[in-house]
Amino acid sequence: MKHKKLLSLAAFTLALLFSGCRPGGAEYISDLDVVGTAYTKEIDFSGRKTYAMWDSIPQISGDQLEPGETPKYVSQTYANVVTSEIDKQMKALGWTKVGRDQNPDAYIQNASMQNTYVYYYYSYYYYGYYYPYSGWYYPGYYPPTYSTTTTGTLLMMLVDAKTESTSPNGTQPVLWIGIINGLMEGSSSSFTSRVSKNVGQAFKQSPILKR
Amino acid sequence: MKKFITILAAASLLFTVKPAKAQDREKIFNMYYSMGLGTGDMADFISKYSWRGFGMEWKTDVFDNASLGFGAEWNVFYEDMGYDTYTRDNLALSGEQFRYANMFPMTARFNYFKDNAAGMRFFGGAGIGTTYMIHDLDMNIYRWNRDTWQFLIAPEVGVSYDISPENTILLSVKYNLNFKTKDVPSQSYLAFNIGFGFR
Repeated sequence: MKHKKLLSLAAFTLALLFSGCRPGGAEYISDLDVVGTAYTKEIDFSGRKTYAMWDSIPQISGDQLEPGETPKYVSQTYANVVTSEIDKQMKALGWTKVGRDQNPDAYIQNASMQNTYVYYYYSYYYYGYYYPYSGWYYPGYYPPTYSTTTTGTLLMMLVDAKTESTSPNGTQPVLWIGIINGLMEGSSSSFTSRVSKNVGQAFKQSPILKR
Repeated sequence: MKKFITILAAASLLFTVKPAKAQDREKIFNMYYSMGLGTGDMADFISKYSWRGFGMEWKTDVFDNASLGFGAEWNVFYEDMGYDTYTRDNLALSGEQFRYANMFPMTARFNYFKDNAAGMRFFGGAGIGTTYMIHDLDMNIYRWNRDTWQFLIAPEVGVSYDISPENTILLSVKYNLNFKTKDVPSQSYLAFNIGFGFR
């Protein structure tokens, strides 16, 4: 009897210790933010010192624009957060901002896009179909559920204005690209602060841009 | 080389023990809380001490001072790597990274032991078997995952103490030496076990 009691106590204690210590993970929305950067090795752009930038940020979608249709833009409030942070970082790195008609060495072109992911869970052992009235389900197997997550991506491209285009459609080479991705959630102020922090990070991790 | 030394040590023990009589053979079932600390390449992936794990084993005396048995454990390693920048060539990626390793070692075990009058049993030996392991790396909304099996040799030393004719308390340290496979380097760790034994 004592033996069984001790066995049960040991099993219970071990189960408690184990289940009570489930590993953690991301706690805040900002924990999921990532900032990626890359630069071209084909072109030496250490001599580029001036840039121009568009104030608005278009939204990229998978759909082709119809003739006469104008592209969508992100709200100017957020666009201003992004462009002012870029200006601040570029200035700190030694670049000079000029007008688009003042023959800049490079252009900064920004764009944004959204992706929605749908997660669906259905347990084969869920018998809800047969017991729709009572709402009963087999212990441990929950009704089918789904959730959606929307992520937003901001692309910042430093496009060369000095290299002769070799592309048949006249596109210019991209010297540097910064990509920010994170969840499109949270209050307006926290979202703004995350965007600003991550734009800053993209430049901090790119010493190649220092002049 | 380590593998041969361990096998040689286990084999040499076989020649220094006497078969136990059937009626004297003690059978014991151990359940224990298991903690872990990665070493080598495993520590490169997760260096943080693991407080999560448990194990079970069944052993029977086969000689006057040796036992044979089998057992399995589950150790969970986790580390929040914090916000960092990972650079490779002309690419850089910054973000928070969370790493997980679930280790399931399973071994057949041979132990040499020595009892004393105070009810303590000191033992040392090794297990041989395999570890199934799952490694996860979370960054952003993505999870990088790999799972594999590695050949395992697990030397162990420990002590058990009789708290009643049927029950013992167990303390042991085990080194789970998992051998590298084609794609995954050796994932080895020390396990510190504390638990109860039931005769």
